[in-house]
Amino acid sequence: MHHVSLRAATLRAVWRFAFRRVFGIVLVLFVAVVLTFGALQYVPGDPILILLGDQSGDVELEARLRAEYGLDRPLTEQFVSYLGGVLRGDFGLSFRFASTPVKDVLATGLAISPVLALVALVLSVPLGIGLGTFAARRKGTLADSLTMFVLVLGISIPNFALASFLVYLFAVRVPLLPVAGWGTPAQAVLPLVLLIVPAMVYIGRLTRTYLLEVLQEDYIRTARAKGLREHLVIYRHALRNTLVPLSTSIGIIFGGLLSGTFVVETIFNIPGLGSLAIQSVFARDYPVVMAVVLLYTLFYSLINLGVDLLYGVLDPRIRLSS
Amino acid sequence: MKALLEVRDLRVSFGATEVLDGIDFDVYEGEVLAIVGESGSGKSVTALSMMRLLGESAEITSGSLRFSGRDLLELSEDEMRKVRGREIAMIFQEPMSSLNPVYTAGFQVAEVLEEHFGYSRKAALEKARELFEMVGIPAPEERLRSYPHELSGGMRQRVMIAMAMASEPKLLVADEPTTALDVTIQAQILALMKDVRSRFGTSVLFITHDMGVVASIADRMLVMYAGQIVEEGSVESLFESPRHPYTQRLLACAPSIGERKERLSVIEGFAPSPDAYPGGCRFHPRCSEAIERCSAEPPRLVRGVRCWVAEDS
Ligand SMILES: Nc1ncnc2c1ncn2[C@@H]1O[C@H](COP(=O)(O)OP(=O)(O)OP(=O)(O)O)[C@@H](O)[C@H]1O
Ligand SMILES: [Mg+2]
Repeated sequence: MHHVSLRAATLRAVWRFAFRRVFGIVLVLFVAVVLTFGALQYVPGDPILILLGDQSGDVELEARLRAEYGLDRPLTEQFVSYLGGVLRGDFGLSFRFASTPVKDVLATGLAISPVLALVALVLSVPLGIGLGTFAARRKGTLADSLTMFVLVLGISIPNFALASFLVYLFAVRVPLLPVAGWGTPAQAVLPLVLLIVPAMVYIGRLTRTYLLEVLQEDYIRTARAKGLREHLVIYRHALRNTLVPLSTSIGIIFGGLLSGTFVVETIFNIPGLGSLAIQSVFARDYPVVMAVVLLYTLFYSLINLGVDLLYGVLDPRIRLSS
Repeated sequence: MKALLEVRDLRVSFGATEVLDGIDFDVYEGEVLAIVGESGSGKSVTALSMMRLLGESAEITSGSLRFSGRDLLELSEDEMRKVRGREIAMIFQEPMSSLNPVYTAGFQVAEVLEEHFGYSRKAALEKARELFEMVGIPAPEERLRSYPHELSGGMRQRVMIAMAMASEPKLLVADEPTTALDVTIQAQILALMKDVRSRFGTSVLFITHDMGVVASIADRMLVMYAGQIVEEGSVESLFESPRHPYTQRLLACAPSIGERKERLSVIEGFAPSPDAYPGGCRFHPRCSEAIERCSAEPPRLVRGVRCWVAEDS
């Protein structure tokens, strides 16, 4: 009886939590829509005139385009219809590609950038944790110092410098890997390396720090006093506890990887969301820019939610309280 | 009586600082031996030495720990690991931080059985349930699935005791297991330890600074001061007629059982720090009975007491 009610209370808490979080994300997205829509009103240049180009004298065509893009209606009406569209996943029409829905313009990039970031994350997390654990277990030895040296080096080298070096190396010296384009697995290697190195290095350093801290805990002494083999002490008891603080950092890193794709896509000429966004800014294709901003807002909100859920899974102490 | 553990000339240093200065004692089979002394006197270092769990900053510079026929200090790390938790178990002062927060109580007890006796997870959890019952944890089936933060301090210490007794060790080292607990819980845990000890015939090395606790549980006691044993004997004889002035003072200031005292701060002056132990008898600057010889010549442990004055009388 007692436990049934406890179960129900837990379930209620979970629902309350879920509701609060989803509501929060919706609110953030709404604010993002308001801000991007508002900003659009202040950008220079009339997109329809740009769209018309040398046909700018054609009044009839101009009127037709304005109607098609809904720009002839009052601002509030435009906003409401934009908001309604966003809710249905419809971001209006592109300015750059006349009469093409933004949705279709985004499709290619949407299949590239988040996947690129996700693959980089999935690879850099275990690599970083492995490196950090390796160093922490050998604290004070040459192996530790060397690992730390490499990690510090990895952090100190600016991303663009590493990129230039890699491009130079593979384009000029040893043309083993393609340095531009998208479509084959080989073309994904250098972009991924560029994304993975800083993320891995960051996670490696954090892992080492957290692990050394956790190894001082009383429960590690208990684990040793039980006579557990060293690998169980390290992996089962110590590393498992570093995952709790690490999960926050992993969320931040995922966010960093997502924005990192902007740089990498530009360098390697990959038709992802990042290069699309940059091209769209220069082409004054504001509906596309707005859509990318909203998408990234959604991504970041989802990452945050994911981290909080992960936290609950990893740490039994906050399963209920939050 | 037969000695289970014979400690001889145990010396431990942290860097250049020697914190244990040649400790000698025996733990007999089935007895409870208490170690008492002020904070910093080296009780925990002694206890952790038995497990070889002092950490990298410490070095056991000399001595031997003969335990059922072999010297623990001679064992390889892997052989020592098989002694820990199986032949010598240990429980600690802080029941909160001594359990891993991310694993259930049942799992943490079951681990010992899996590691040392090759139990399956299921069998180990079943045995853990029996152990929970034995240490008086109510609703043991459900408590197996509880996380440490869901348990009270007393319950956590019961879990620690269940964990320690899982392998029916020959020696249980308990470093102030009741100090962090409320008075009533303290009494319950003491009663449990007495029960466990008589049930399994386990020898117990019980560290405390509470004379009331010593009186209630121990057969013999060692009094430590500044990294040395200054007096040893049966609890009865030491309580009746303590010979070392330090022991006399400890007993005079002892709160009656149950009364809570965090640390012994009842003797005037401060316990010296290990990098500045006084010459001669280490207690002489605080001793009201000190004679000239006490500051000049360090006394040795003779017939259970390390004191020039007591030795002569
Ligand atoms: N890791 C360490 N590094 C350096 N010195 C240490 C370390 N651990 C203990 N010491 C020193 O060794 C001496 C003995 O410490 P120990 O912990 O054994 O005291 P204790 O008798 O258990 O005291 P308490 O009643 O406070 O637990 C102290 O002077 C302490 O400062
Ligand atoms: Mg201590």
